[in-house]
Amino acid sequence: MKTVKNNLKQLRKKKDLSQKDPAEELEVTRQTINSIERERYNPSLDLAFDLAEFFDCSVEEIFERD
Amino acid sequence: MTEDDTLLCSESTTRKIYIGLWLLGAAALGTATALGNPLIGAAAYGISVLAAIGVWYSYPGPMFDERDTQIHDKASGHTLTIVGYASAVIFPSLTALYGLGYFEWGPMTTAVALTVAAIYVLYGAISFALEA
Repeated sequence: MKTVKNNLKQLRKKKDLSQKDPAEELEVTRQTINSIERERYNPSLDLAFDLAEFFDCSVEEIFERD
Repeated sequence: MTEDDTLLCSESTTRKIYIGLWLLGAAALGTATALGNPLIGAAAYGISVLAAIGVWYSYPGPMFDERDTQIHDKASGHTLTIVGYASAVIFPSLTALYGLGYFEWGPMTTAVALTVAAIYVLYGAISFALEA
């Protein structure tokens, strides 16, 4: 499966957050946040929407097709 | 090493300890049973599993999540595929050899064949139930 591109790391750094912050808030492991940032894992739609809500932006602002 | 990497190590280590305790228990059960001490093996397994459950409950966040579920699903699927293809070749071949008088179905091979059949019956039933 192709992994979609994302700018999660940039968004997180912009807000001066660690990987632990979204992980704790969204009840996933830090490894999952790390894997998404490294584009090694495509999150579920549910988690993608949760991430968008957490970073106060749209899903399209985080993820884009390669 | 960044702060994030440090945090990942901590989480990763806890997960390794949890999985390691399950594996340790299984290894203790098998080894002690093989050495003629089944009760010691069962006790060691029980202690190890209880310790693993303790690690699970004491961990402040989720130890496994949707990514682990996806990895598990993929691994299960690949395992079933590999076992299925192997079984599709091995068991008919053994049956043919049995028919030719070159092979005898012993208790071990019979048990393996029945177990594989049971796994696929279960898989079929669960797939059917999930689709319904």
